[in-house]
Amino acid sequence: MAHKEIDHITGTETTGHAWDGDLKELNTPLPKWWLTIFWITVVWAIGYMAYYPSWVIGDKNYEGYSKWTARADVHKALEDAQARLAPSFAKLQGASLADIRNDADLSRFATKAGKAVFGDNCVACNGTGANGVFNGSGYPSLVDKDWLWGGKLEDIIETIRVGIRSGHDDERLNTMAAYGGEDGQLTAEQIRNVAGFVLSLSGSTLEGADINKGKAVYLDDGGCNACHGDEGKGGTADVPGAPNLTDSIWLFGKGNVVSSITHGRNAVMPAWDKRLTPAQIKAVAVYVHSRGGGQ
Amino acid sequence: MATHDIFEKNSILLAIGIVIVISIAGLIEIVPLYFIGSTIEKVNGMRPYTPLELAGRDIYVREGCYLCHSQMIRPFRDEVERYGHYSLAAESAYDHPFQWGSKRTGPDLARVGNKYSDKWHRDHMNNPRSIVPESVMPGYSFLAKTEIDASRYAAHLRALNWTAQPNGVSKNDTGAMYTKAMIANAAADMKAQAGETDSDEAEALQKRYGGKLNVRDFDGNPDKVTELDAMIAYLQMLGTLVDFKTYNAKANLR
Ligand code: HEC
Ligand code: HEC
Repeated sequence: MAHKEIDHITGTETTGHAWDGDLKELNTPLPKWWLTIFWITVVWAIGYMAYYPSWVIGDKNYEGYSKWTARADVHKALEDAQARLAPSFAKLQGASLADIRNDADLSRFATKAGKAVFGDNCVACNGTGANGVFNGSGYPSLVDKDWLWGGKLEDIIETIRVGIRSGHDDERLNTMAAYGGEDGQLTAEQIRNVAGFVLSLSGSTLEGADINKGKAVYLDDGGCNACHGDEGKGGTADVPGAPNLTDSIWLFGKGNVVSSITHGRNAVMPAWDKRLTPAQIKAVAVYVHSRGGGQ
Repeated sequence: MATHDIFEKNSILLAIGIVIVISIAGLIEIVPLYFIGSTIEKVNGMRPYTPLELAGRDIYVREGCYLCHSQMIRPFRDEVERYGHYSLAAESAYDHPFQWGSKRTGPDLARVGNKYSDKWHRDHMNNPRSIVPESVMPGYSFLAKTEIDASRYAAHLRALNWTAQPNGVSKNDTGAMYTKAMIANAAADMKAQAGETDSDEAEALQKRYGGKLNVRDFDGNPDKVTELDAMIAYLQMLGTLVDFKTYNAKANLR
């Protein structure tokens, strides 16, 4: 750097280096605007490191002037939301169905909050519109009047809370056993007959089935009436959970009645009391109840 | 300029110089993570994957589920409200490699465990559109037809022990991810977890891994241990291990 040679054409300093005898390189200074921005970023970085958590000191890290953490941020956001929504949720918790219906604000709040909960947790099984996936899929529609475990608001809340065959301590439990197979209670012929009888209740027929014999199986050998009722209208207050067999709504499909009886059915609805708060459960129950089937 | 000469005229030195300069940033960012006491939260409930869950995890990686699914609930309100508590570093303690992912075509799966029924997962794996008509997820119907070779898994557990103890596996189980008993019983444990809930083998398995395992026939086919058993066993335990009742979130802000 000793020789400060100035190139006489451009007036700029050269690097002082010569190649091939006379080839020289200009040492053009960096543009001012560039250099200024560069120094600003350096200063910014130092400020940033001072403000936010940065350097490691021993087995801890410097917390920064702001003491900012992502987790504190999210806890604050959740607490703020909680504080904003708590009065509405508290009101909802204490409200009866009539209260909710009479209070336009509360009813709007419940269905909106319920819809959000439904979207995050329930649509996978019950469909985006709560109308089941399709008739016979094994995942029920929640918009019709057909309920397995009751369609009153309290019933829906309880079903969501404890689930069905979910393993929860208070689970809703009723078993549709397999009646066929080698050590099944009924022969294949008996099953065909009772399936024919069951289908006849909603006006359908099954080829090769003797309905009268089927009725006898239903009431005696099979004991189906214990759960499905003498008329096949489904579960009673004492023994709830069995579907109505007379309404031509088939949880597992009209074409699968023989299979339902032969292999049994034990569909599971998970319990939600660990994932959702009681207020969220109530909100989603109100939403479901409002979809058309609520009693 | 004279000081530069040595780099400009010697390509090996230049390469070494580049490596040193670039490593500084890496070292400053990465190395401290191994030393700060607060990197991994103290939690109750974490345990290594059982052989069956591990097999499911292997299939998850093999099939590239991570290309569409993350397993990382970020600390944002919308994510916490949708998926549950944000993911903790401690929850990836036994993941080699972790499955945080960086792309969500489908939902985050970090806490999908126990959210849906086994039957739902069976239907969904077989053909997602049979129950979620809008889904763009591919079907994996072959999982139900492919049996797993359980005998391979003892070696698998042993290999994972090396990741936990890079300096060599201890002779007396101290600090081991998988104890000798777990390794010796790997194949039996795998079959037991996909079998009857109250068998003696299942009880032994529960004891070995600290209880609260899902033990049942996951795939609806009690005769065989299939890849679908493993996949569902894995999905049904995701995010369910940490006991959040005993977890102090305020002490672990970072
Ligand atoms: C112990 C109670 C119980 C008895 C006894 C019983 N069922 Fe059921 N049944 C149920 C329950 C509960 C369900 C619903 C299962 C589910 O939701 O997974 C069901 C479902 C069914 C279905 C499917 C309905 C649909 O909508 O797809 C049919 C068909 C059926 N039962 C027929 C019978 C017949 C025929 C018998 C006698 C041989 C019988 N059940 C005996 C409890 C019972
Ligand atoms: C092409 C992208 C894609 C791939 C690959 C993929 N998925 Fe999905 N997955 C989705 C989408 C989209 C959804 C949401 C719609 C649905 O439920 O099917 C989904 C949903 C899911 C769900 C339900 C999540 C919830 O909370 O509702 C599970 C479980 C799941 N996938 C598991 C898997 C597994 C296991 C694999 C690998 C074998 C996999 N996925 C591969 C796109 C994908």
